Amino acid sequence: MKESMMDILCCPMDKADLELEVDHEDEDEIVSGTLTCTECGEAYPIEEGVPNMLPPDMRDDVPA
Amino acid sequence: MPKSRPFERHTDRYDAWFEANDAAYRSEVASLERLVPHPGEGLEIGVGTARFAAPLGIAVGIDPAVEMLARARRRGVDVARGVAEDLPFRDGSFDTALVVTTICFVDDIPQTLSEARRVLRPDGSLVIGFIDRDSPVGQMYQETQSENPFYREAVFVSTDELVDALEAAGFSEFEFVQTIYRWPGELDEQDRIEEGHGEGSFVAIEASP
Repeated sequence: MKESMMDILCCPMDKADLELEVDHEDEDEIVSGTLTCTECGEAYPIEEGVPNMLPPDMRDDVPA
Repeated sequence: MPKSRPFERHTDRYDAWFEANDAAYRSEVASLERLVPHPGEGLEIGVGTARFAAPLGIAVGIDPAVEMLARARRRGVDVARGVAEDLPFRDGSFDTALVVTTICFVDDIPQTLSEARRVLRPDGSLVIGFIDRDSPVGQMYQETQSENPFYREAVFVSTDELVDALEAAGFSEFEFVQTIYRWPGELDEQDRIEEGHGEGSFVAIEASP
């Protein structure tokens, strides 16, 4: 994902701001990392360039 | 949520429909384009492989099916994995929210519409494209849905039902266009696009938040 996505992304549950931690970057794309909610503390992984913003209770329900 | 599983397993088959039904697909894109000629900052909810977002100039997409999102990215759309009922976007982020052949797959239509309204700017617009349950194609899909891996768990809606749900969610100022007056596979060129609803099998509604 592009870092500019941070301007519009928020926590899907409480809509609070997210904090970005980048693990791996490739040119202007964040390939892996974590988005952590500044309010509830829930961590949303960025995997293969896609932020996984599924509600936490649905994350295990879906085959990757 | 389980409704997205077939889309993970059958991404090729999903994309193949658009190749095999090119005239129907082009009719749908053209009807949506009539309602959103200039999407501004746009979001497609249920973006799939970006078959609609990409030609309509919608820059951002969300979908629960990660295999589909990989293709949407290759079509140049910025994507997030998530569901329509719990959008991970800030209030008032978008000028246009597009929902195409997706409303039959969401778990909760009122919650989906409420979230779409939240992420739209006050002067933005919501555009929903869908197969009208009361149309010939809608009736056929409903009768044969047990044989179709995508539509097995779908809950089809009529235009009147959707308008009621939109009004309940606070939307107003509705505009309608319709297209697809024959079976999608029988079309060999783009079908006509008309205002209103009740004749075409594919209906698109624009509404103000």
